[in-house]
This record gives sequence, C-alpha cells and structure tokens, in this order.
Amino acid sequence: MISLSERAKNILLVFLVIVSIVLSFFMRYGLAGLYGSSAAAYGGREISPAVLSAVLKPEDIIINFGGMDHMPVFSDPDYESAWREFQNVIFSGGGNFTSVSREDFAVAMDYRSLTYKFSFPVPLVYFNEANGKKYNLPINTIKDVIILSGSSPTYYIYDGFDKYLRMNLGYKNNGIENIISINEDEPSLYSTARDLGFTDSMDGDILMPLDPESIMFHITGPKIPNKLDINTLVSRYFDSGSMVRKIEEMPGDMVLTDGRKGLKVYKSGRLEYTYSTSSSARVDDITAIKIASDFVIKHLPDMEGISLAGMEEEKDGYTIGYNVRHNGIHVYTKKQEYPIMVKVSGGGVVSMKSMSLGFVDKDRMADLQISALDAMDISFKEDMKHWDELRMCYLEDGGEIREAWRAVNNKKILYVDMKNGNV
Amino acid sequence: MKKISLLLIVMMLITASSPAFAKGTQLIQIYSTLPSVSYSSSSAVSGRVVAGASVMVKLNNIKIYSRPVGAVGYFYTPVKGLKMGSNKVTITAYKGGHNQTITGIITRRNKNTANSVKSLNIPVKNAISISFK
Repeated sequence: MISLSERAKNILLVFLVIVSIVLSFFMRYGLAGLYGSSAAAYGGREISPAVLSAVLKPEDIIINFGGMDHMPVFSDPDYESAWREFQNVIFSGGGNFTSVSREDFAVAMDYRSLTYKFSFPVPLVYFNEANGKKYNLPINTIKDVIILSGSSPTYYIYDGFDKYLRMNLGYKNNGIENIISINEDEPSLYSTARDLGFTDSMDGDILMPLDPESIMFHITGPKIPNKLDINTLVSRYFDSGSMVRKIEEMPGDMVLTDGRKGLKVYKSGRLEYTYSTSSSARVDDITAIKIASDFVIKHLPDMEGISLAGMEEEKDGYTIGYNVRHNGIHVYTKKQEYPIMVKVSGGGVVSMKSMSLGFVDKDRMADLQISALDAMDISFKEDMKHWDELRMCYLEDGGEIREAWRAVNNKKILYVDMKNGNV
Repeated sequence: MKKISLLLIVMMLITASSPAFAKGTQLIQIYSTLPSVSYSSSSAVSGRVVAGASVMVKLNNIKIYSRPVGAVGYFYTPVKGLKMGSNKVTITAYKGGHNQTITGIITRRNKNTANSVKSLNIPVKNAISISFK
C-alpha cells in the first residue's frame, strides 16, 4: 500500500522529469523549434512584417527624362515617393503581360520613366510576406523594373535571370510623371554607357555624369562613440541587470561583454557584435531576414537608408548583407562585402558587423576632382578592362569617409579617390 | 603561288584605297548619332580615340571640351546652349602630327513639335563630314 505522501512524491518526480525534458528541448532547439521554422518569433516575440518592408527597397532609383537624359534619385523624399509609386503601380494587379527581349527592356529607359534596380533578384514571396498580400505576377523574382509615365502606365520587369516582361495597365492614377517633372527644372544630368556607345567595355546601365562640375558632395565622417554613447550601447545591446564588463584594448578599441554577448567598439567607429548560443534551431530565409532586419533597425537607429543587399545560406544559418545610403549615395567599406552584415543562426542573431553607428556631416562640400573617365583610366592601369559597375560612393577607410569611384569587374572591386585618384 | 601573290596584291590595293590610308590616320570613332535632332538646349557627343590622342569639341566654332584622352580612349561631353535650328559640332582628335576632324549637325527643334516631326529633314551633304590632315 503506497501512502499518500509517497504518491505525491511520485507525481512530483514525474512532473519534474517532464519539465526537465521540455526545458532541455527549448535549450536544444530554442523557441523557434516550438513554433516551427516559418514563425517569425525572436526572443519569444513576433516580428512585425513592417520590418521586412522597411528593408525591401531598391538599391537605385533612376529618373529617365526621355532620350539620353537620366538622373539617379539622391534626395530621400524623392526616393521614398518613387518607391511608393512602385508599390502603387506594380502591386495593383490587373493587365496582361507580354514577353519582350532584353533590348526592348533596355530601350524602355529612353522613355520618360522611372527605373528601379534591386541589389539582387528579390523573391516575390518576400514582398507578399512584407505586405501581407499575395501578388499575382508571372515571375518569381524582381530585379529591375521600368515604369513609363502616363495615366495608363506600362511597365517592364526583369526577373534577374532570363525573363523580360511588359505589362500594359489600364487607367491607373499614379505620380510617376510628377516625380519626373519636379526633378526636371534643374537636373544634374547623366547618360547611360549605352547612350554614349561605351558598351564594348561597360555595362550599358552605368550612369556617366554629363556635367561633373555641378556635382557636389557633403563631406562626412563616421559617428565615433563617446562616453555617453557607450552607456547607450550597453543598454541597447545587453539585457537589463546583466553584468557588463568593459575591456580596453589597444589602440583605443573597446570590448563590452556579459559573458555571452560581446560588443567590440573600434576607435574608428566600427562595431562588431557576437552572441554565443547553443541552439541549433533552423529558420527559413524570410524569418532569418526578419530577425536580422529587426536587430539592425533596433540596434543601429542612427544608421539611415538601409536596404537588403543579399543573403547567403550557410551550413548553420544565413549571412545577410545590407546596403547603406547616406546623402543619397551608397556607402561602402573595404573591410567587408556590405556595410552591415548579420549572421542568423539558431533562430537568433549570432553576429553583426557594422561599418559605423551612423554618420556626422561636416560643414564643407567637395566637388568632383576625378571624373568618371579619369577613374576608368586609373582602374585600367590596375588591370581592369571591363566595368560592370562604376559609381560615385562614400568609402569608409580607417575611421574616415572619403568620396570615391567604385569600379567593379566580376569579383574585383577598386575604389578610386575622387580628390587625388589614389586607388 | 601566283594566285596567292595576286590575292595579296589585290588586298593591298583595297587597303590602300580605304579612306584612312588615302586621306590620313583614323583617330576617332564617333558613337553619338550625328546628325541628330534635339528638343532641348542640350545634347551630348561621345566616342573613342586611339590611345594617347587628345580630343577637342567645338559647338558653332566655340571650344566646349578639350582633353588628353587616357588609356581607355573614351570621351564624352554635354553639348549645351544649342540654338534653335542648325548647330555645327566639330570633333577633332590630335596625335603626333596627325589630326582628324568630324563635323556634324545637331538640329534643335521646338519641344511642342516633337510629335509631329516625321523626319530629320536635314540636307545630307551638310549633315556630316570627315576630314584628315
């Protein structure tokens, strides 16, 4: 005969064993394991789809005035309104698609239109997820889009692989012509390499400034964290109540750690965050982007113009890259492929590298001392014979941000200083 | 053997009768469409010259661009201030003692007539000319 107290002890023992098994499961697979791989849960909370729509933006938007005259969109308000028009037109549905040739697509840039270029072929399901809708387009990815102006806009879409389509919409209220017109008063004009006939050595879409004397840059620098910023970083990156130690490293770099999380703040303003986790939970690509983007937006609030640049699936997770635009110009660093890189593994962010916390503009402007043709000649001497990309940019280098030309051929990237032509 | 020699002689004669050999050294290749029509006050010209050459562009006999061209050989320049009607663009490349000039016409038309223009309507003999020295 088992006594009541013995029975109670047995029940308690069984309960403790069950609790132990459940907790072991969470430790092994994390919370994401409980919800399945597609749940956008991170740290026990749902991530809003708005996070995804905040980073799913084009790398470049170009205004085509008709003929040889083009202009990249530099101002943030113009960029945002052009991006709204994209969503208004492309995701409105309706109309019929026709297959067109690559040449037809290229010629469309000669019409009054807006061109949208994404960094990589963005899967349509990303936009579905971001906006909570199911868009009905006969392609799986979106790379480049050209929307012609007019009250019944036609648009051309390229999937980044082999599909070029033209879509004729019926009447559709839109602001494409308005965006083109307001920028037409005092445009800083560019022509494409295709317009200029340079396609034997250059990608046809490269924009060449027609009036280099009119181009001025804000001189800028990376935000270097001071003592106050360090306190903010501690509260931003570490859990409240955790014991954070500060380790000074030579020459002026600093490491903050609570044992599991580590944050290295370089003297130059660069940041490196790491988090050690034993979880091996696997999430899908959309969830990984949501987790990474949520982390970036929350932990780098001063960094502006962030857009998804690409992702790579690895054995233990995903590495996700972000582009950064400042003053309408892309910012690059020689230290890493993208200015911000995040690794997601085990259902969470295990590392983030950012070129800086943000930017601080100086009160001075710089003009273009080295022209596009000079930059080509300089990179030609460095054995570059074809240009897949040639663009004006900011380059972070050792705590300074310089204005430069970025010349790309396959995997080879050269930066030509706009002041002195140094590579 | 005789046939081969004959073929070589014929090829040499053809080569010698080409414009580059007959009139001078080919220095410029123009990529822009000339003659052309513009509906605004600006247009652009572009092309490629042989490595080490310099290039100068004039609009209605006024110099608007001059540059020693680098190793790649490309040049381009906006052509601003087009007057209504016919505008003469002269592109000259220099190298050593040689030069080559290409002259073309850019016709500026009123924007409002853009949709009604059916043809360039430029006297072809005046539209473009090439000279060597």
